[in-house]
Amino acid sequence: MPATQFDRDSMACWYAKEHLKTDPGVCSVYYLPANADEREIRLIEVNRLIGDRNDEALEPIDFGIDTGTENAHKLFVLDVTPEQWKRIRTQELGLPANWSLDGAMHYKYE
Amino acid sequence: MNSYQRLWWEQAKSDHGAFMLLRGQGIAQCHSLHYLQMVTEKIAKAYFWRSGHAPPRSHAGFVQFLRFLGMLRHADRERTARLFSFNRFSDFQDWIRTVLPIAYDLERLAPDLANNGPNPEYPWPHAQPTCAPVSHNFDVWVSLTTGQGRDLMRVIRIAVERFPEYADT
Repeated sequence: MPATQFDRDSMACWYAKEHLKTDPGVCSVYYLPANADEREIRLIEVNRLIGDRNDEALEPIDFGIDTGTENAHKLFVLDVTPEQWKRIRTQELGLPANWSLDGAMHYKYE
Repeated sequence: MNSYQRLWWEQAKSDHGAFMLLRGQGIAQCHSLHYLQMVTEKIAKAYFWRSGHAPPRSHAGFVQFLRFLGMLRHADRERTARLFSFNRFSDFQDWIRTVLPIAYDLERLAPDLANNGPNPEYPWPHAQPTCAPVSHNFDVWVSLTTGQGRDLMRVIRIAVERFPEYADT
């Protein structure tokens, strides 16, 4: 099956809305397509329930999804506190290597 | 860290590497969960070996491990909280309280503690199996894919990688 049948942007949108709907701590989701592999979805989730943290915790968690099917992809989620998100926006806090906010799409709870 | 702790830590580190590999590859949930349950059991046992005496053989221990970390002597509190990425020890204690339900669910994945129900290793119920782990959707996996669950996985990684820094506390 050709790789083009996997629609990364639609899938990212689905994850973002689903996480906003089902996870009470998540208040905003940012989808970061820049620099990502075509089968890789990178999300930053701003979460008000994970508590104040130092920067040790800034680590994306990866999940392999639908392995072995035409929709196989990897989902990376970086959870940040609202305070950490502010610092990322002002570039006081760096993103993981090769992650970029260029072209980021924002989803929020409706 | 004593020699017993080192052995249990080495095994926990290797199990954790296997867990990360399985999770990232999207292999069936049961396999990732099996390794994660073993990581949590072994890092707890590595910690409890600090007394120089064998901890109970039971597969339980992770919940107790988290509780111990939440009740450290005052001299170790702030340093340990920072090591686990928290700015204050009280934040660490609050966090432990919020993730304990997921920790209990992880502990109960061990077949001995699963009450003849869902576990990541053997079909169940034992006498007349109707379910295989490989095709089961585990509730604890759903919990682990929430923000709190991902956060717990990050702290488990720290618990494994930085074990020597708190092994004697």
